[in-house]
Amino acid sequence: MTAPDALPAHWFQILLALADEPRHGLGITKEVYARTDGRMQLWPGMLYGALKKMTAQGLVNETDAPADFESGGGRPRFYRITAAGRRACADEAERMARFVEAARDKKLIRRRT
Amino acid sequence: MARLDRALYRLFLRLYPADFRRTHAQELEQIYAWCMTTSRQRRGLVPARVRGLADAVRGAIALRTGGAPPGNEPPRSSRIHRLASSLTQDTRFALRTFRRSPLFFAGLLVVLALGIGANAAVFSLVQAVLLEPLPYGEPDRVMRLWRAHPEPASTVPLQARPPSLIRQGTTGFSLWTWRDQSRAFLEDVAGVTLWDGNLAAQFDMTIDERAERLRGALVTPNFFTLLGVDAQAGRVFTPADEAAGAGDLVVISNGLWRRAFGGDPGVIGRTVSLVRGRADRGARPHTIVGVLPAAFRFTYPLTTDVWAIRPWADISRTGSAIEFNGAVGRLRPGVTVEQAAAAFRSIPVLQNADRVAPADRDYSRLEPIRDAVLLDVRPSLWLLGSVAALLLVITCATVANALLVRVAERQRELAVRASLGAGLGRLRRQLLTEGVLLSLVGTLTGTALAAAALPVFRAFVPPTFPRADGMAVNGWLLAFGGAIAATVTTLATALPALRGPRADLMDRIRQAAMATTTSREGRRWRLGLVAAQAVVATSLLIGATFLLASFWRLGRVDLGYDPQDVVTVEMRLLDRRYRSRDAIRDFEQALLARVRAIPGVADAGLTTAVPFRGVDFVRGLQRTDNPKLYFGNSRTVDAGYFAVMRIPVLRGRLFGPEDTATSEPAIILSESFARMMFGAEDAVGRVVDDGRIVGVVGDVRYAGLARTPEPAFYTLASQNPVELICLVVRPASDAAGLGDALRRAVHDVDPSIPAMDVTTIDRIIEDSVADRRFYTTTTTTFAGLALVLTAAGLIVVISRSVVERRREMAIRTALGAGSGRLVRLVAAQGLLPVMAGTAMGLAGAVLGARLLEPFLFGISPRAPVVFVAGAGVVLVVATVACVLPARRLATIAPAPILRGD
Repeated sequence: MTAPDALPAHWFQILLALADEPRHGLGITKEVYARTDGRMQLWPGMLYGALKKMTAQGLVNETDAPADFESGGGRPRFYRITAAGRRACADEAERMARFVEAARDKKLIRRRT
Repeated sequence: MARLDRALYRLFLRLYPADFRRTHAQELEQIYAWCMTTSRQRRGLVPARVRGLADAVRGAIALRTGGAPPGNEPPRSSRIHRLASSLTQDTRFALRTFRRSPLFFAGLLVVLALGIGANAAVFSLVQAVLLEPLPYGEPDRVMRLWRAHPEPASTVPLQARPPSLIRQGTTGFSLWTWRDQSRAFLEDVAGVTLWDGNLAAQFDMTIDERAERLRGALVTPNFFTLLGVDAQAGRVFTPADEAAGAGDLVVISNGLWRRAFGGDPGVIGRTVSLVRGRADRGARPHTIVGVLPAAFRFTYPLTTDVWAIRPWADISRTGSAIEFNGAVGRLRPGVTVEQAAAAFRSIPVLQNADRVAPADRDYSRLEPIRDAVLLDVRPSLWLLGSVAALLLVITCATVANALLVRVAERQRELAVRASLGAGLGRLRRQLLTEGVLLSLVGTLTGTALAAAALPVFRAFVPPTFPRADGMAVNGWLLAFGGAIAATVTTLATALPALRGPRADLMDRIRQAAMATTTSREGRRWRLGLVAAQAVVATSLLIGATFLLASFWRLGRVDLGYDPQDVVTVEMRLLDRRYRSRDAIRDFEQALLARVRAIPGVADAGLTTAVPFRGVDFVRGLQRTDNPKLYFGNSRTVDAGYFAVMRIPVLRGRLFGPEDTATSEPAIILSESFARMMFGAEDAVGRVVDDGRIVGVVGDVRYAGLARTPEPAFYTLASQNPVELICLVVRPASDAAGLGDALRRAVHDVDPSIPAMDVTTIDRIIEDSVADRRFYTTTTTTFAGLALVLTAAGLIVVISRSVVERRREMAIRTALGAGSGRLVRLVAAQGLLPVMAGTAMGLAGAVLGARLLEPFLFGISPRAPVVFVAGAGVVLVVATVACVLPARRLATIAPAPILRGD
């Protein structure tokens, strides 16, 4: 059971992907795919559905493409994490860290040195 | 990304809001393409595709609903919006419900898919045969014209003449009369002579150095223009050919064009050498003027390959030879079929019609060409359609019942949801959503199942169904699937949704913990449905039993001969060289000598027509003391024929060495012919106009299994050589491999003679009942399915009863009731409606069996044993289905139940 304030897993991953730099849709999907070793694949419907809700809740913003961006065609929309998004993502990471801590205490995983 | 995927995805993109689509389509596609590439490597193409498209739906829903910033929501009170969001919610909830009891819903899906699949398969047959327009221009105005025998006043169908035999060939006289006197209502009339009725329309052609007999037709120059058919290459005949003096022009079928000419477009204008039957023996050059489109058909089930022109000028106005297979005509616009048929009937069909008693007088018959094509199969299609519809009813009843039970099981859940504020309408809508979803998926699966199984089914449909080869997955089938979905949804889900959640739900909550019994009303609905299932299952089963019994009896009919393993080869000596009787005789002798020398041949004989096939001559014999003609089936055979066929000689002798070409002509009568001609007197030794009767043999069924043997007489081939020759060969051990040896033997005697239709007589007989086997098998399968579904429905209902009444039963046990008594009590609850249903099914079957009469053979549609057997099977199966779940009561332990749940 997740806590009531838990972020949906894919929201968390999207925020994490945007944490260092603004990205466009395909960039987010690729980044999440790589980080989760292919376990989470953000299909376009899921991605934009989430982005819309996250925008509505002020977690991300649509932004201009970086000046140096060159695409094959068209000018894709870029998304950037907001302060609120950063906070939400950090809270979620914090929350997960507590679970990891608990697992370490119970000697399920080894402590990193 | 594959083109298909791109196209599919673009289609799905339409689900998204238009403004979003405008701005984001390109990106969506890019991401989709990337995801497809990675996903199909991991999971395979189809799962990836499903995932991707499901995601599109999901995204569309997400973008069309939620997402406005919190606190700044647009007014969402619009009804449609609310409905949409509650619909998504319901759908999601329904999916969760399905997932919670996967076996139950998988079972329902199987039931639905089977019922709907069977219906879709039958429908696609009906569509191809019945609904698909015939390949002519404005086919509804094309009529078939016949000389028709008056239909017998009372028909025991099948055992009397099949409808195709009421329609007869016609003469030059009637063709001209029809043409001249029908101008008021027909635009035109064209004559046609076909291969199956006339040797003149059979052509021999050498293809790949092998002589082949082609199915041909002779048609008047206006034939194709009347049908509204144009050539695919070259041209068809036109009335202008008449003026040009025609000559030997032919149009060939698309099939022959591919088979014999490799689809070479240069074939137009080429001259080929064809040997025409009878009318003008000998090879003659013919010019190919056109190739017909592949879709064109005129004869079923076999195609006609060569169409030769027959100018009107060659047709005698007074011709009395029956040489045309009727004619075709085109209705004038605005004339109805009924008007035309009535007017046409008044045109005389025979020159001296007044010599025949009015009741027996042939008449001119006009009918839509569609009716003529469907002649013998329309009843079978009706039968199949009705059976499929009944199966659909029972499928719906089963699903509805299962859903009702399901609702009963979920009373508590529904009550809780109600207490949390869900209104009655909301609950109903949710149950409805579940039902609709289930039916939709079931219909999709069923239709897909039928589509996938179509090639198998098509191979199973006997060739007697014209145009069944056109069965295909098409718009019709999909539309039918949609209609079925609507029907199933209404029938199967309306009841559970409306009867399920009820106003007194709150009482239910209170009851739920304490209830000893459930409402009688809910149970009544379930049992009512069980009864309905029993009605349908009983009548289906009785119908199937009738058909099975008929088929069984048909297989045990005494043919009068032994067809087992007898191989036949047919030949026609069309060439000019066989004009003399001696030439035919020499051919026959040489052929028999070669065939008898083949190792593996035990015995061989000759005849003019193989049973159930070929041309049957009806001729008359006359007694010396009486001018009356006695008509019978006339066959010319050689001395070995009766031994090969194992036809018993009853009196006198068979043809023997004493009968030679120059001795007195010998005649052998069949038993019924002898009785007809000579009554109780002995026929042997009597002289008739054509010779002396030397023997009487047993009656033989030559025309069909279901038809009573016709009187027949036999003449000797060496005394009366005929150019129709059928070899009958009894093999020493088995018939395999004999066909090629026989073909070679024919080729060795005369390489220009095609050996046709090498097969065994038992195969011919089997083929003759192929349509019967088809509808019998189908009906029986459907009846079996119906029975299984009824049993399944009962098991579900009784199982539920056991659960609902276990408290009551526990009390009874505690009070000392034996477990056997409890089992009987619960089982009886299911059996009573089954009995009522079976009784009603019986009554229905008694009424309906009369409709089955045309399909029956050797059994009366009132045979009580069939009704008893059918109803008995339903009752036995139902009893088992009731007792099995009820037996669980025997192991009931009252104490824990009474203590509480």
